[in-house]
Amino acid sequence: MPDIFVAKTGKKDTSVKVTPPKSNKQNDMSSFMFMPDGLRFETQEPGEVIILLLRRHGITNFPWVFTGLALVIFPVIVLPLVLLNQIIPSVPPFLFNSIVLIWYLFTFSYILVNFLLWYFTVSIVTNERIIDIDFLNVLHKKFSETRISKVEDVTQRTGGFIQAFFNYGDVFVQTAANEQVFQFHAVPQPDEVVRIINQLMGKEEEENQ
Amino acid sequence: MFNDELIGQFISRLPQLIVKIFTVSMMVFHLLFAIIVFRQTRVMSKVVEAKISPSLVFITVIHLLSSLFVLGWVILFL
Repeated sequence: MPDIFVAKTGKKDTSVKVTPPKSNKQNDMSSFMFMPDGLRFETQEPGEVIILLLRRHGITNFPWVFTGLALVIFPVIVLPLVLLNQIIPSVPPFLFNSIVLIWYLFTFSYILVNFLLWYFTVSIVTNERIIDIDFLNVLHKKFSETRISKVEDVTQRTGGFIQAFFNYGDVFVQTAANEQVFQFHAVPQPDEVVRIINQLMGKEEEENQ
Repeated sequence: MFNDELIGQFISRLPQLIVKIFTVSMMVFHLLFAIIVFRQTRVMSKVVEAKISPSLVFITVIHLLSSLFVLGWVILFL
């Protein structure tokens, strides 16, 4: 007897067919990771594959790295000068040691917090969703996500000499109706990010037809 | 006479005492900050589980211990 109606099995195609970017050198600290190994996120669903993991471009860390280095070097240069020239006549050793210890502890904190905020502020593109995790400071976290099927438009913006030179920029993902716009700030290879999201959108449309 | 000497000694040590109270308070706040950084790093590591997450948690533990050490130093030697 011929089948009149064959119900879909409900199984979704979890195989990922996305063209990899031209340059794909990556390690755990990379700002642009295509299909990273050994990486998971909190709300990852079974069968969900991470296609892209993005952070702000490494060069955007320059201000705090520079400040951190200056803070590390400052006592090494200034304190011997102060002591040799007797600018401050008599600094007791215990006070001197305490100042140096506190200085380096605060420098350590400054570098550590800035690094953690950079490292854990990520945008993730999976075969199902787009996730944006923003750690605004040590206490505040913003988590937003949308389905690939809800994405309507993806645009990129690169402006200025430094962004053009280091090939990074902002990517804006517009979702349906009055929902939010996802902003990936200062991510490397924004053109590749747009291309990959567009490919995923195309795949999603094919599946829904 | 005895009271005058005591008050004199107290006044002469007052600047050092004020510096010590201020520094200890600052270091107590830093210790609280270090605890928050440690806890938040553990939370962050669960949100994004990477290979180096345990190393980052370990660094925050070192940071916390450093804060504790400096607090102890300030209390004892300043």
